[in-house]
Amino acid sequence: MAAPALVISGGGSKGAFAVGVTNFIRERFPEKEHTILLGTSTGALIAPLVAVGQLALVERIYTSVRTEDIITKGNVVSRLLGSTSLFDARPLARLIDNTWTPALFQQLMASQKRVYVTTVCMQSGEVVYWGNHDAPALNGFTVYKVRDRDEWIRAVMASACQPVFMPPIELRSSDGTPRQYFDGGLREYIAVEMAIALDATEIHAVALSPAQEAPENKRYTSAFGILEKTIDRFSDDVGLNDLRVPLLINSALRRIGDAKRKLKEKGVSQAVINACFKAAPDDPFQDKEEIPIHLIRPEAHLGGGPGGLTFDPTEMRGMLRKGYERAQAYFAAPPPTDPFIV
Amino acid sequence: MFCHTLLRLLVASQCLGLHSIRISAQATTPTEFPKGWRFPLELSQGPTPNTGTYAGWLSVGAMRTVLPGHLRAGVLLAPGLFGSQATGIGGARLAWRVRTFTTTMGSWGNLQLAAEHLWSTQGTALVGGGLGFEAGEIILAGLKAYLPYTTTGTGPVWLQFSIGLHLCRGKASPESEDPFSNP
Repeated sequence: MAAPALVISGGGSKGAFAVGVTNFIRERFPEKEHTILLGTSTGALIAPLVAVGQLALVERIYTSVRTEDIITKGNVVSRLLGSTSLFDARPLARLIDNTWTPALFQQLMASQKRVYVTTVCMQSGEVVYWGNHDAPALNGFTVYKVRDRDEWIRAVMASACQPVFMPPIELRSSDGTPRQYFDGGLREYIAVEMAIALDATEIHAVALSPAQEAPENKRYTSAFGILEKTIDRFSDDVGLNDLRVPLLINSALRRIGDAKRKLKEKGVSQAVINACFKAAPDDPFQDKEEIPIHLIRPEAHLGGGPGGLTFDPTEMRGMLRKGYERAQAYFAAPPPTDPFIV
Repeated sequence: MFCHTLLRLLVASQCLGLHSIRISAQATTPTEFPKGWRFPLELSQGPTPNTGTYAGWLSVGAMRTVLPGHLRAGVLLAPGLFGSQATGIGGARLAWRVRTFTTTMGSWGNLQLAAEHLWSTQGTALVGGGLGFEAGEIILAGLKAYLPYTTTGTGPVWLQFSIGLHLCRGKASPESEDPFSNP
């Protein structure tokens, strides 16, 4: 059975780009309704709402919210010394609480679509997915089906909370075993591997940073600026690895498929081909076929300030338009996917 | 006289471009002078022409933000020295934020106008005010001028420089840090 997946990465206000891409996919491929939806960070705010048919609401949010609707700034020194984060994220918590009405949450839980948001546990370091269906532990990821609406909105919030900037969110915690969760992008920037593990048959993956950035012509003169750039570089690296492995596997599957087809064209019988490609039971390529992975990402840096934490409606409307146009260009002439140039 | 002095200081700060506050326009949570109590511990000292050479006091205050982002009011108590005479001091203080120092991540300090009226057990009362600086909601510094007066008249102005810190800056509890608590 076809199971198209929509996977959206983290990126704060740059999520507007993903909304533009999703808008285009909905218009262009109405028949391909995503049945697997995965979101990390800002993607956790978008993908689940898309799953319950609220794309228009998502678009409204991503073209109207301002930074003060997401975070409250305070005295930096005081917060560094006395708080768990630089910013107070109560406005975002209110937004999530108001958006996920009990009725919408019921709709999500009743849906056959599999919807998950990505978090990372501070105490264990595990990547933990929270969603509306049980799932076995996949590829070392822990998967929890949420128990109630409160747990769901906390999981969405946790997925969106960038460490240091925003506070950790406690989930299934007790005095003896505190469990604080953060933005899944810390370890899983874009959950393509999870989509493959859930047997997606086609993946629309939206990454919110460009594959390559033009070199900057500026000198870094402050420790803070260097720290900020270093965090960006680490994030880019996590994202690169998240994509490289699945694309590499996909590339191997494509080559195996090509080899089988060529052998068949040369007159080799199917039984011989099957025997030649028969491998051990733990062979990751056994009985697997190449999955079309459509990776759509911006051509250049989208803006949105450090960590994507600047929410400017005008800038976000521009990102949304860029997302739509980028998806349009991608599907007009899909580029070859090479795992080494993601 | 006190009101007149305060008014002049406010007008002066306006002229200096320090007073950039528009109360009605401030919809967001203020980064400086947030709600709640602060307990400043300050050492104040300076020359005093009419008591010999020196006056100083170590005060503990309790200040409450009465207009978030703008105004704090409170009281302070201190043991002190007026010349060679030990004295007890108590009084009231108003602090009006006139400038916030910011970075892209938030603020880091503020400049404030303070007005005080202090009474001493020695018999001299002080009325005055000046500029205060606060960094990281911890470190305090101030430069103030006081007019001493007794029942018999006023004396020459006292200048006081102060340094200090806010006490009781504890860690926030996990419950109060949770963004879903009291959202």
